[in-house]
Amino acid sequence: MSSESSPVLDEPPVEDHEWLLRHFPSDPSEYEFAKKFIRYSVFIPRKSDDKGLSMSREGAAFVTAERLLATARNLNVKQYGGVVAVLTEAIRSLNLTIEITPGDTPGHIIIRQINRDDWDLKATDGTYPKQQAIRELADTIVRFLKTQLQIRIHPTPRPAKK
Amino acid sequence: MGGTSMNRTFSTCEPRFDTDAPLRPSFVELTAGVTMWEKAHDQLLSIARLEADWDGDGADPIRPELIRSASKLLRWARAQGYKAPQDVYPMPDGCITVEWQRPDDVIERIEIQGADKGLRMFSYPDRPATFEPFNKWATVSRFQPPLVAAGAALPPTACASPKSPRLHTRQTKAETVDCEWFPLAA
Repeated sequence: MSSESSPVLDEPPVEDHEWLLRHFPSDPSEYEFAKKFIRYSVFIPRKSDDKGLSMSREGAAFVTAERLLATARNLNVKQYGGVVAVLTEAIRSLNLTIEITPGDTPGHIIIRQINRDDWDLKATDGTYPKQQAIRELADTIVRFLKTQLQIRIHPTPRPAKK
Repeated sequence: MGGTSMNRTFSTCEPRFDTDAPLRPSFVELTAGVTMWEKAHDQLLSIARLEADWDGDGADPIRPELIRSASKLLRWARAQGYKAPQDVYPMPDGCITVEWQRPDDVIERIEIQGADKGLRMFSYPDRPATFEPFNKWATVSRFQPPLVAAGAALPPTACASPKSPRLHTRQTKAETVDCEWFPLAA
């Protein structure tokens, strides 16, 4: 268990045995439909993850996978997207910090070390020095933590545009 | 080795040559009657049609120079005799990833980040991923007929199986498609 707690929200600290949820769009870049498994890009920060990778605590007091999808802002996620769950203990085993922050759903947290601001940081030589570390973390979550990672809701293919 | 089921991936010719590159040597593969090269081609065409916010989650648009680079990479890989990639897909930041999944559970990705500029990533099942800059395909002329080299690597007479006449048909079709490969590069 962690001593992390929210200075602004009246929520209990995140326990190691809790599952953290992240929704993702129905897209081949995020999910391999043939294998029914996510790609590492699910854990690459999106524009909305500017300060940290957005996830939500699973549970009756927080949010369910179904509810998380229902509250998604974009239609691709809401109608066709998927939800993956990762065990808190596994995230912490990578020395990542879970921080309770206000969000669209109760139990919203961010993983500070995986954030879009760092991803977009451009060096004077034109390279993106932080991207490699973030890629490695995302890849590790998907490949190393397979037993501590579960697909709660598999995405469904989007209908082709006419 | 070899097979006739339309629903299974199979190969019918031995590697033509070895290279020091980690991509696996080329085979003619069919999945549901479509070669893997055809699939990669179709995936890249689909990516070329994407607009901004293509994933509905704020994704960046795919820049035309990345499509051209990906096309060159695929032609280069095929000409070198490499196995066709399993997948070609866009990333939320607008890059294009070409992915090979190897039998040893290693995933190799080349992420095209700019014109003739790529990052090669090896993802292992038991250790951290490794990265290296990769742009070996950059010297390929985009006007080069792609199957001059690829045909040399995989001549129909060498690869067609007498037990599988359909394979020959499909390969011929693939070559026809490839000769029209990505006119947007012109």
